[in-house]
Amino acid sequence: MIVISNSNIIKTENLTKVFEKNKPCLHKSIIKKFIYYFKPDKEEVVALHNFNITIEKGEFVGLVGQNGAGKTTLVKILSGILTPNSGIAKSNGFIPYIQREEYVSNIGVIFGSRSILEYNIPVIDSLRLYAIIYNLNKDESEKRIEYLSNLLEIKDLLHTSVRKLSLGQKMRCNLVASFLHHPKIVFLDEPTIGLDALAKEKVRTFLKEINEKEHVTLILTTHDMDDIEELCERLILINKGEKLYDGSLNEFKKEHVKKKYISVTYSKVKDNKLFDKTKNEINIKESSKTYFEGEIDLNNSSRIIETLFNCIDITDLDVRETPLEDIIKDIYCELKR
Amino acid sequence: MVLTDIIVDIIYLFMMVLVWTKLFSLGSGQIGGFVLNDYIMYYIISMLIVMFYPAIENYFSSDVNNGNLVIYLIRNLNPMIRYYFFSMGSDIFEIISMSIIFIISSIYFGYFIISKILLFLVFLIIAILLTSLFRALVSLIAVKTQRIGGVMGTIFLTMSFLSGSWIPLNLFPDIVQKIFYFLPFQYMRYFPAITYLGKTNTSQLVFGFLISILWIITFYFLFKFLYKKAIKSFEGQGG
Amino acid sequence: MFEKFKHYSKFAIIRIKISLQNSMEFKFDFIASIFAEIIYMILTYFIATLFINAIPNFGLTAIQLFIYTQTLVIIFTIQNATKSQIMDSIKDGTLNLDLIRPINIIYQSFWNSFGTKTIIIQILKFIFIIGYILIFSNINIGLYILLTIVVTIISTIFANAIFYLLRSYDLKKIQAGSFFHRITNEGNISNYITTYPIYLLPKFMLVYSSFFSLYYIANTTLDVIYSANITNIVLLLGAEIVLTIIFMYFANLAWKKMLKYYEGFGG
Repeated sequence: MIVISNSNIIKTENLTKVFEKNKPCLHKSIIKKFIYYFKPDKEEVVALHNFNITIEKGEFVGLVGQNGAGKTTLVKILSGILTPNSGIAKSNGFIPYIQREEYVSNIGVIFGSRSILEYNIPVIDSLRLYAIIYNLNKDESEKRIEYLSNLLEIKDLLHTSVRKLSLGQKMRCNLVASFLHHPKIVFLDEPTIGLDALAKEKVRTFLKEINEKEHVTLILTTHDMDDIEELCERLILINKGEKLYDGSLNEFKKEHVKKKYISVTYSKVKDNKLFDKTKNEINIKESSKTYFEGEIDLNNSSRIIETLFNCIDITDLDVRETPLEDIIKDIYCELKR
Repeated sequence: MVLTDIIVDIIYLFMMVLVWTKLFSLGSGQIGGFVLNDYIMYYIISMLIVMFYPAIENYFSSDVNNGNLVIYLIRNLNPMIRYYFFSMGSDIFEIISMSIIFIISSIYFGYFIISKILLFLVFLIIAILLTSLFRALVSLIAVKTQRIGGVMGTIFLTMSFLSGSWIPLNLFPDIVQKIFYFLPFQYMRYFPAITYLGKTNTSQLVFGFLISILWIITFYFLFKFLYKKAIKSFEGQGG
Repeated sequence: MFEKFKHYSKFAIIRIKISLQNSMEFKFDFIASIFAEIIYMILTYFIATLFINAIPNFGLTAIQLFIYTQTLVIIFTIQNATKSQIMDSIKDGTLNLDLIRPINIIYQSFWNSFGTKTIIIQILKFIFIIGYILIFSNINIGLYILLTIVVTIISTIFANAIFYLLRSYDLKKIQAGSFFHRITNEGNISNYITTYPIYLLPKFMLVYSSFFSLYYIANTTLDVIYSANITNIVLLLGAEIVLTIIFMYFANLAWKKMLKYYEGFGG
């Protein structure tokens, strides 16, 4: 990530968005049910509450939260699709939902579960359609398509009909279409969902490169923590429309990682008593006759490992810090309580 | 919204009444053997009958394309029966309001005779069976051609025309009307309507009854045969 | 300003191109549709003769009635082929994808679902009717072609303006828009436009039908077939153009207002 200057490109102040939903019909009497059919009872759902965020030009931000936490709502407000109930959002010098038509010519949005390409025609025709939608110069857009297709390795797919592509191939074509017009900001809503490991790798490589080369501000929403680990330096955690954490990813890990995760394969037990005593200090998740894995405290980790070497014949040992995924999972569980 | 459907139906009826009143004002007191009241009643009955016809083919074709049919085959339940009740549920308000209009206008115009009503019910059931089977048969084409679109359009167009939905079949020349007696289409709409209006004599009723039963049997066995063939060629596409 | 015009025209052209590409994918469907149209025309002509024979003093010959109803069908089908499935795209969230493009949303939706296939079939039909008129009738052919094209374009834009105005209510999930659209347009008209001469209906019913659009179409078509009363035609068309512009303005305004309440679900 390269921060070009200290200028903010996105800034929101006390952003609030409330949705009206129909309450399920719990009436017992027929008259009340009949009335409900014509005029259902409504309830309010708060999607965002006094949300404040500032993003700088060229940043690569990761947005994490449970389903329904408000991530997509935030993205939709910042792309101009939704209008907030109160508060203000400014992006790239515009108010997205007020000056939408002008504002969107400089941004891109990718929804992971949805393709923006036309289904029955070759990819290249969809790309040319987008070149016209964004009113790009013909020669320049052809060069841009060439450049991006090389970067994302879709050159041999250009003349294939979109319906014949695999999910990974479709996503790469979608990325070309979304970066065609040199956007300053791109919102990526779960771009790696459903992709296999290789496809994910290609997408991540591309995003890293385009962020570094063209200083595009990228806001990534995802449930895949590997995406965040590989790409983002900044992590924002959202829950029920409010910010839980906003800061550097490394700081977050330091704060929350209090445990290490070990996997041990062994052949012989040298000291049974000591082994049993040590096992009590380990939060064992899985075990079999010659194998176990679990969590140990960060502070005691070296001591426990040393002790293990003394009491059993270790043939294989793997030590790593708790995956980000587990940290987040634990936080979600805490929130439920 | 169901209210919209009912209002649309009433407006359509109103238009029909206006047009036919105007047509009658141009000429004599009867057109094609019917008087004005006959035409009005004809359209009311026509609309009522149509409400009992489910749109089976839409469900069938979309299920084929989605691969859902496999689920039904596993459960060993004839899908067609399912579809019928699926589509009927939402129309219940429409049917009730149309029936009310039907009863009120019958009494007002003087068509309310018990024997005619019973006859009408018999032929109504025949009409429902005939149409359902015919539509189900045509839906089997969906297994062969992935999109229903234009082909279905042509077939249903012709079918609706020949069943008397555009204009009652009495306006056709006599020879053509005689041919219609042998085809299944008039029993889907025109024939039940005219039994109610009292425009049929005993021999026509008996003949019509026999022919329509024959067609029902033909369609039924044809459907079973093609259904088995279709299931074999259907290898679970889609999904 | 001119730059914007160029941009928007290029968009319209490429959308028509893509729509054509899409319909060429399903050649069988295309041919079947043409076949259906032919059968439709034959049946309509047949009904026209039945009416003329059964009712004395009808007022039109079978040929005149045929030309009248077929012209109405062509214009009306083209109108309907341009009305997008806005309701569906709001429900499944496709509208979101259109909102993030730098083109007016109504203009986009219009061209996104431009029924090129249907329109081409209607144009073919139009050519056929012209041939028919040249052989069987003595209507002023130049005037007929000119007026039909002009009326089609104006009434299509007009009908769409009203359509989008009513559909804006769907953005705020208000049923009223859908309600009014259905009771003024859907079903009732297509059911009888091919069977009965619309001019038989009293004037107020025509006005109600699809608001004013059908009234103007019916009157101008009749004028061409009966007697080319130029002043009448020009007045009617002028009035329709004025109304079209007014409705277009209000449709745009309605969408700007209602988008504030849009909840954007479905992706």
